[in-house]
Amino acid sequence: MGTLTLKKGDKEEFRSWARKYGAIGVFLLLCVINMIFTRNFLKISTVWNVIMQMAPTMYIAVGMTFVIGTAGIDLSVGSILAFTSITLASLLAHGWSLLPAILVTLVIGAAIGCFNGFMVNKMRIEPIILTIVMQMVLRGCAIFVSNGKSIPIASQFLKDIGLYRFPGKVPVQIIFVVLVMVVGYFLAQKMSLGSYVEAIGVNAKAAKLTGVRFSAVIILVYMLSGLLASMAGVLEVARSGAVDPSIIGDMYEVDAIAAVAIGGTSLNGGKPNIIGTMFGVIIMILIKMMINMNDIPYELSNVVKAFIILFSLYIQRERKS
Amino acid sequence: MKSIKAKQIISEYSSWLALLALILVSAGMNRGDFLSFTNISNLLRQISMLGISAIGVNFIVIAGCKDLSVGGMAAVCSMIAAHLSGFGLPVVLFGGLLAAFAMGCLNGVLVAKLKIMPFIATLGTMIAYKGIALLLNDSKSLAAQDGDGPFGFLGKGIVLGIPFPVIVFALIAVCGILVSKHTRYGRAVYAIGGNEESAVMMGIPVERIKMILYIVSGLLSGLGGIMIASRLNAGIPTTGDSWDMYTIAAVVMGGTMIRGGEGKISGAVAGVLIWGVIQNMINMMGDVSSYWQQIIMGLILLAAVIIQNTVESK
Repeated sequence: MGTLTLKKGDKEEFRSWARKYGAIGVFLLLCVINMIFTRNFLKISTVWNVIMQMAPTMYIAVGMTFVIGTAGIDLSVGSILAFTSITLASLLAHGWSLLPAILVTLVIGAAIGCFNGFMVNKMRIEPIILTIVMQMVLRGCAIFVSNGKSIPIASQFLKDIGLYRFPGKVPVQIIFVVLVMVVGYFLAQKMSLGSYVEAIGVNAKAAKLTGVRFSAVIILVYMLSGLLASMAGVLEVARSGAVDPSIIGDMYEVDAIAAVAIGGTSLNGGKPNIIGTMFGVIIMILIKMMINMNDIPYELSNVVKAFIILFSLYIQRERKS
Repeated sequence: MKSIKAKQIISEYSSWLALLALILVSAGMNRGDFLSFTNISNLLRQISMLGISAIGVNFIVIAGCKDLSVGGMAAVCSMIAAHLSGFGLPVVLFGGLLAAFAMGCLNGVLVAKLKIMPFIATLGTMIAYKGIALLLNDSKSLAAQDGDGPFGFLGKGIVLGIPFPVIVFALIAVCGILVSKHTRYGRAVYAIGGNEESAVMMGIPVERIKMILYIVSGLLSGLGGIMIASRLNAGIPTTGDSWDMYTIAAVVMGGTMIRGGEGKISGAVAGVLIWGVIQNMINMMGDVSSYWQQIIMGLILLAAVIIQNTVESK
């Protein structure tokens, strides 16, 4: 009996350890694997490539961290990205100048997020059902708006920014990545939003009774997710120079959810862990690079990511009954 | 009193009334084309595979769970069926359903044994299964052999003028209705969905029943996937795309409460028929993009869930 309880304790200890340091562990593991198997991995350009590629996912994942912290989920982010970037592309094609076009894009993203939050909060629709529906509806709208055709970006300035590199080949995306990190970290750790989110995620009823402004936080969190998804859209458009409505942003929600899960934010709701999410995003990009650079079929990466999500869930399951 | 009546009507008849209304509208709009025998027969054949899968999903939703991975399982089984089609029907069924059993088992273990929230667990497996389906032939579709033999009959066959998949769907639906109404197993499913904790206290083997539910859902979706491969004479890795939403939409439109505990298996049949008629209407409009189908179905699902929630809260 004694040994049995000890074993159980060990297991529990391993779980809490894995929750805390899992992301860093997997990150180091992936680095070692890549150093051995992937050619040209040990170069500074790899770091810049990772940063360049991670920017959109990072934006989506930061929003997702807050949503998941409230025990919700937002599967519509990839489609919000598609719909807003197709809006941006068509506005620019219709002769809008860059700044108002981007502003309108971001407002649309935030409005869609607001709608999601409203439906989850006021209409009490389960987040997963709502956002699956929104995923399909918005993807359909994106394709409808552009007649299914890819739209090139009419603003040379935007394209130049997207591909700009500082001296030493540092990509411009590093600014945006740092920016969203700092803001996200600030919101989660230094402002009350982080603790409100945690309170709602751990026990929604208790949070309501203790005076957390439940509706406001839920709507804000989904709005943030929509806004960040549209920002990710702008970044993605700037880098790629064209928008294909049926491809852009596809499966991004998977990357984001996997990143959040492996980053230590409980998928049952809990404290949003932005630093963990960042490592999670880097891991997702490393998996993608590893698969690209070693000629492994792309589809395998989704299977790998799915099992990362499932494994994180398995580790987190004891947290809340 | 009034609200109880409204709730009763909504859960009892509204889906069939909606179906009737849709049929009338469609028949009116298309001047008899809709009611032609070929059209009805095609429509029924098209919805059968989704319907078979929806029966399993309906049981799961009644038990208060979700299964988002049905489309992924159908896709894997359709690819496996195409790979094995040269060896004859028994091998196809054995191989395909074995894979479906394994995938359903994994879902069941994740939800029932490891107690992971059903929707996230099956979201994860959905991504994995869809990935596996793509890996099975380098993301390409795979032509099946024996298209005119017994394998082809599975999806294209006609018995006494009725398409074979429709017969299978009808049989499974009848079995599902009987199981849900007249067996201990069926009652246990309702009990779990109504209140899981008290179901445990009543001594219902919740874990085992959830396990069975997910395995059955896997097998039914797998069968649906195999039939699609047979009908199209090819394994297509994107088979069952959006089935996650369409099956839930069908189940919810059929009057099953999304939170579980209440509902009817016959509702899934009505829901799937509604889905089929809407799809058929969209197809008949001709130049309307197929993405409209997703948009319309999504909005209908949302409306159905909102109506359920308002009726429930009154």
